[in-house]
Amino acid sequence: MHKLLSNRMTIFVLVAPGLLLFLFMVCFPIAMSAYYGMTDWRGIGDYQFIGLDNYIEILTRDGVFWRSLLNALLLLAATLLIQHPIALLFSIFVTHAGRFEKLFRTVFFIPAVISIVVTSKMWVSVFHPNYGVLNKLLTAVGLESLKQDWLGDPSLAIWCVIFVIMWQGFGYALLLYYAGLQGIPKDLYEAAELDGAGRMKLYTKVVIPLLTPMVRVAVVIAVTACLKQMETIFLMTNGGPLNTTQFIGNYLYKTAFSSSLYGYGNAISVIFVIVCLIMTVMMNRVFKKDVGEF
Amino acid sequence: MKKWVMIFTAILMVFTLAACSSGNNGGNAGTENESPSNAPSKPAAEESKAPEQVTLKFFTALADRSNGMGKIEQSIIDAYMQENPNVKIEVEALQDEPYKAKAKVYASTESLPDIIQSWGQPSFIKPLIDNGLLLELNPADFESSGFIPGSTDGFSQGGKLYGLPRNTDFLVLYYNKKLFDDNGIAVPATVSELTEVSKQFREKGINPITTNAMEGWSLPIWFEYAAQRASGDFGKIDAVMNGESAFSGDADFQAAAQSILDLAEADAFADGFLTADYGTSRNLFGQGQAAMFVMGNWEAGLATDENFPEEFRNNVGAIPYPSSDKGKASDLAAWFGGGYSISKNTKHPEEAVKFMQYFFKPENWAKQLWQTGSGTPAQKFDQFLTGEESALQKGLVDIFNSTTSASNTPFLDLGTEEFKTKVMEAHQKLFGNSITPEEFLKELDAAVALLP
Repeated sequence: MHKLLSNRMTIFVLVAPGLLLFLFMVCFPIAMSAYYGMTDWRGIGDYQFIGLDNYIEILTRDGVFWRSLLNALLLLAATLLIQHPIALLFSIFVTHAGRFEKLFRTVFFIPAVISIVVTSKMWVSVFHPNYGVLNKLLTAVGLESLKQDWLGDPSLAIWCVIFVIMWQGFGYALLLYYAGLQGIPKDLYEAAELDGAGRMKLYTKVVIPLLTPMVRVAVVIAVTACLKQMETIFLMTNGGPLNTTQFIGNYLYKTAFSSSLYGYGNAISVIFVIVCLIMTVMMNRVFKKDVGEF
Repeated sequence: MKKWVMIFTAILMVFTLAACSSGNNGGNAGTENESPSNAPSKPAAEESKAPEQVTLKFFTALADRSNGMGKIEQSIIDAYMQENPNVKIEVEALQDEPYKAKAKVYASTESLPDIIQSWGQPSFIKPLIDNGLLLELNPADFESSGFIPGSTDGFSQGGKLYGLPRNTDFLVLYYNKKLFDDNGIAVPATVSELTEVSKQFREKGINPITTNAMEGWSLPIWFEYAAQRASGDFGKIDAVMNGESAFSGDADFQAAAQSILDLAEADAFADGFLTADYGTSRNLFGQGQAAMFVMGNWEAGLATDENFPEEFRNNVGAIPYPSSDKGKASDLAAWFGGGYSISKNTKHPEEAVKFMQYFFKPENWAKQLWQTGSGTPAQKFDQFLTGEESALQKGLVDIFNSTTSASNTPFLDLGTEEFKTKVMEAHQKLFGNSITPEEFLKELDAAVALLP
């Protein structure tokens, strides 16, 4: 086996199919996008090469692009600072739920398995100012003054949308942490207990450090999910009102397919790739520190 | 080792998602395999006794095949296939926006289906004609269809015909009589009354007016009304579009924008106005949660839609947009909208034209459309009046028959898609009360400046 793999030709042959697939399905389209991003192509007919005009326009004058990026960062912050800590707490809770463990695990994961179309449309109804459950509920408990036009108010809509996205992704985050907790050997808990560690100490000194690899995976998944957010937005607000809930994926779709600015849309997608790469590098920097092993 | 696994996972994920977005966007996605037709095509002259098998691809934006216009379209297609067993028509139907997106992909890959729904408006049809993607039609072939004079203009360019109109469209104000009566509010006849009425409804806790502001195309047509009522002339916007004047600095446009803003300040627009799409706004009105609905005459079916309570169906009416001292209620924002075109690359031009002739026989489309109350045809249809139309239908006919001047193609459809998006966004800001009339007019001028 070792001999076989030391042959460069063999290695090449074995790697080639995957590599080719990667080149043609991933790198080639990105290169094409970069090229089209330098044209004023409108989808049909001839186009002209306009250099970096589109890219400059996006970076210097396109407020909606920056708003989209900001929204992605807001969502990321909310995911990491609110959703994940809660998911972690709940996963610990589920692990210790005894005979209800299976029940809770299922209940919390339900939002993640229901189609996003269904949950998004459900939340649109919940938030509806006239017949939505939320406003009805507020009226019922006498908090009428808190009634809002949840998704129609430009300053409020983004928070509602972020809440829904976190709700949709909660089960998945919980499951990741839950799986991480399952992977920690039981004897470590016992050893810690024997050494006289309390509950608090057990979690802060033993469990959480050992969960670090899983936290990394969860964070990577969260970052990609936040950046590429599209379906919930598309289904709930389509970026509205007034582009306040716009995300890059939806914005570039709208630009290319509603406004017929294919060249510009391609330029957005290329910048999007670069943003993703920067995020990757940053994440790797952050994660450089060594992790505890067991 | 673990570090490298992490880096690799991260990069892989980022690239996978980047590939998704760029693929969607590159325009080279979605090239569907065109299955070749079953039989080799032959010139019509050589057609022997046994007719060849022909498959026509039919691409339409009437996605609901079991109600309204989509149902009629499908029934005519089915009847045609029954009468011509050698012809098979494959229907692909999508909602408006996805339809337009996919039509662009088809067009950019030169793989348009044989017959497509088109709009006789430059924003849609001009790029297709300019790039030679549509088949030129012979007007004489359709003489017996009885198209209303002027209705094919939008589908023509350089004196040549490239499509056929399906509907006569105009924007009206639907209203719920019961809500007006129960609250002792009079139906508005003037623009200022409309604002007043809206305030009264708000006080009663009822949504005054709704429309599909999320998609946004009804707003600029609404603004055309406001502009006409301020100036007395639909032609003023056309003059701006022709580069003869500008929106900014014009007292009439300023007044028009202000009148919309007055409505916004009177809280005339339903809660959640800017996030209401077509279905949501229609539902809000149909469930009696909004007093008025700004929409096209194709919604005559509101009076027969069983999804809505009977109380609503018996009480829905239509009025023209309120008048002013300059613009009359009979000055109508009316245009000829959707229709069909035939792809130039079709393998069966004769068969496609034949089907279109059949489709537009007066007793097919025009009659069925009218008698089912699904809309108003772009063909003569007075011979099909039965006297049993719903009150709503009669009201709509009365509005149309009293027209003294018409706006023709909505100005947002006179430019490119980019222009259209910018115009709609400017209107959303105005209706959302987040810009001043001056800023609004400036944004419109900036959009006009984008036009080639």
